[in-house]
Amino acid sequence: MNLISYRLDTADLMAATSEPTHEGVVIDDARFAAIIESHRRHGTTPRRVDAWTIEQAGTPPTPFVWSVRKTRRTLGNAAASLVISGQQRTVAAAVRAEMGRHLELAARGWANRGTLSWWIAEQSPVAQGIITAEAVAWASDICDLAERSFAQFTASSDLYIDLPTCRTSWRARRDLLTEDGSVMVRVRGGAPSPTAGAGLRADLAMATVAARGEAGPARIVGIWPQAGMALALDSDEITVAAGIRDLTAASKALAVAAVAPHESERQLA
Amino acid sequence: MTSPTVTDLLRAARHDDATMSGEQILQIRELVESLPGPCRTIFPRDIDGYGGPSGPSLAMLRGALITQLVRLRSVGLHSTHAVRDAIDALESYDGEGDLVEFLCHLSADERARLHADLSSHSQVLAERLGHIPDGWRPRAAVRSAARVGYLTLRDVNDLVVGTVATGLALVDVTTAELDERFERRLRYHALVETLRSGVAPTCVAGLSTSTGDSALYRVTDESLRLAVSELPGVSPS
Repeated sequence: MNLISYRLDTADLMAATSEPTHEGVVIDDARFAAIIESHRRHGTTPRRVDAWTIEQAGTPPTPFVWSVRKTRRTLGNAAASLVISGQQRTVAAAVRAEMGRHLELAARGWANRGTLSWWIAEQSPVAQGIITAEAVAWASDICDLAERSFAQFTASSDLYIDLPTCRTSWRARRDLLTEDGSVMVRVRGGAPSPTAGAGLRADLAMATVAARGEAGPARIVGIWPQAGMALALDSDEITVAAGIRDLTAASKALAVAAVAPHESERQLA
Repeated sequence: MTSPTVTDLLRAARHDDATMSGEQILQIRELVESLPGPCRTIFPRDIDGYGGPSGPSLAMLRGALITQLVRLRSVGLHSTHAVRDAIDALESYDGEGDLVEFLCHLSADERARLHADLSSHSQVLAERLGHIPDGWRPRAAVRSAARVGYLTLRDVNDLVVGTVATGLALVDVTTAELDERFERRLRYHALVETLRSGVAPTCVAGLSTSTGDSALYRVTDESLRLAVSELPGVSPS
């Protein structure tokens, strides 16, 4: 895997996010059908696979519960999008607007139990203040990166890819995207783990599959603002194929774990 | 005449030009890279000697609760029941489980002491921090790290205002006094941020919630070199 490590100074950041000279990989219909088939082979239990599943070597995720830290990316990215698009002047105002939107959804009874809007509405005003502070910190990082990079970025939503007939969905996380879609950026907390590269490769592969019939992103850049580090991975046939293999293997691991949770480790070994 | 708040100090320093060139920052990085091994991680407590790696203490809990108040103030939430709000905030934040558990096990006497302490510190915080405008992009309890050469430098800034592009200011709110040890800590904050982002913050400010003193220091080539020499295991040249 040809991962290139960068620091987070402006020169390095511009180099990491500059327009790639090559095009992204194209996944045609025949190859997409082959991907579906390889997933079907491992059963049709419902599975959700994302880069985190790959980084955790297919370990089944624990049940999801909202917490202050888990809200920061969702709220922060939405707020950053408002600032970057010029709809809000400050990050704090954008986060407050986003919090207000969630609270309104809950107040109108449009938020289902377990959703972010429902969870935020259940919190005390102080906890909502802490949620706001966390989201402001996250959104500030996103806006800061977008302002310092050479490329014109837009804040982006995640990609969801449903593989027909095999009840498997992929989620590719992306926080920033260049206007032409050639560079996608993931922003993450903490420092890169030893498996961070595999996670980036999976996100790149999923984005490439999502662009079916057209060229996918030519590069993915993972940025860890707290650690002042960035990892860039260029797209090529070998990288995308390896990413798809990882996704298939993770899907298999989840299927095995779903059928026999206690047997899964032995079977995978 | 009332003395200036931290916000006033930052406002005065806000339009100052950056004092560090790219070449100087590169030299600081090379200086840290040239430090001999073995690999080690440095925490702020290694710089000023406050706190330790051992379990939670009353002082640590008090510091964490003040941090929550700074966090709330950074988003314009000025609480009227500071102690209750600080505890609520700590309990709502995941990742502070040890301290929350420690809080639950305090004796009535310890609780009363913490309550009195926190009331006093929060009052000073409210009076001396000032209102930080949203446009400064304030964010609180910002963790950062820089891995350079054999060293991994870890840090947490109580408050960061500004952006890397327009100039950053770091604020440390302490329950201790603004003494020489604290100045060393401020220099460490500036060093870690410089190594992390490749841009030196324009200034670092400190506020003592025990004395109400505040101070602001410009970040210069000299102060960063001093910060490097103050890293544990580095013999002064």
